[in-house]
Amino acid sequence: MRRGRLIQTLTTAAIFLILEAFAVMLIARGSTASRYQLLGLSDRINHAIWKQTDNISHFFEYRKENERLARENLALRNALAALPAAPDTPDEPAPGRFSYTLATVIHNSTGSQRNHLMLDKGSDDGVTPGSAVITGDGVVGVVSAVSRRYCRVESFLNTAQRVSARIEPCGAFGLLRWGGRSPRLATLTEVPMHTQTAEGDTVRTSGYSAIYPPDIPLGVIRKISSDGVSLEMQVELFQNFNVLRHVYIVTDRDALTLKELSHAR
Amino acid sequence: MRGSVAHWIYYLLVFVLQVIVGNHFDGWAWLHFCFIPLILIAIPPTWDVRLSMVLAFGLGLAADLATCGVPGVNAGAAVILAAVKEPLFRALVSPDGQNPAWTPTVRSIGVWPYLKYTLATYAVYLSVYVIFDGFTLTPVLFILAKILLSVVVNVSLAALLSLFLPEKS
Repeated sequence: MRRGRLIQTLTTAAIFLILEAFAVMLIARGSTASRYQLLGLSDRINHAIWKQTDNISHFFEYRKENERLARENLALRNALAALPAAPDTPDEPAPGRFSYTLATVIHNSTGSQRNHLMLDKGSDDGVTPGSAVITGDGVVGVVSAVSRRYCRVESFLNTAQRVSARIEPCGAFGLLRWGGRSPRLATLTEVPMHTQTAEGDTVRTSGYSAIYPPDIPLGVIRKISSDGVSLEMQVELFQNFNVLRHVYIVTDRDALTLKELSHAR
Repeated sequence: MRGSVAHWIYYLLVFVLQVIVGNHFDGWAWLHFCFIPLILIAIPPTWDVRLSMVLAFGLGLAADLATCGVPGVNAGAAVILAAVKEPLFRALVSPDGQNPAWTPTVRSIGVWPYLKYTLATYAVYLSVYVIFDGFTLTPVLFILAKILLSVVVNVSLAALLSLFLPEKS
């Protein structure tokens, strides 16, 4: 009798531990094989859920007009990317290094600590994991997994994300990360103490991250504080994550070369 | 039998509600709407806890995938709730150790015991969910405020929804 109870308790504990370990493993494994498999598995279900409900929640006319403007923007961005750099700007990326793919957001979360988006472009459209996702108002996130027709984006509104940023006009660098609360506020950290900056200065991507192109506007400095070692700034983001509709997936043609170089000894 | 079918339909609708809310009303940083515990506490306390945990894991993972959440967050929280559900029921609703074979509802156990029970189960579920979601407790005051607000709102909604639960014949 007592032995039976002991076996029952042990099996209950074992099942509990196995299930919890599996759940934690799923959470911890970010953009790995399991994520791809899960994404592929839920691809069709998600298509049915999001596409249909999405259609109801958007006005048809506005949608058409937005799509037209977004296509126009895309053509301009690609034309801009193909232009040769001016001779007096040696820091500009090589001409044609970045290409842009227009995508529509079909799911977007902003209420959690690790938010995600789903876009309607996948490997059939040439999207690869690690690509940056941006809009004209700033960064959106990084592609973490790709299925044939969709990709999953780890949003900038994710406490694990960091973006290398530069302050204008002083040129100082820092790391921008989301604070975990308001979708409109981020924190710029690791800015050197001697930096001459003021509230109202603009923050842009530095281009040092090997993910985001340089000079994408990120936000405006609203508050500056110091911990005695470095400066910390509260940044109001330009990007409004609650109204995201059309985004650009940025493909860096030199990404592989840069990655290989950074791992070379 | 007809009552059982009605129950299944009810829980299916609650799950669909979770998917709709998770996909389209997930914009509040201070509040997380959650209906999974409502389905979990509907599992009668007499059920084998091992079976409850496996069911809870499947349900949580299905919710994660259908709402584009981080896979494992709802699943992990659901398993913990399934494990502590029965001791919570015994402590808060049935101190004499009698576990009913039916689903606890407002009508079957009364308003106050039901509120106590759902409050405790939601507190467990949402605490684990929020911690798993961020894998962090910082900013701690924000996290605590989010858990508190979510528990209050979700328990109110759960009590309201349980009024629509059909009686088993």
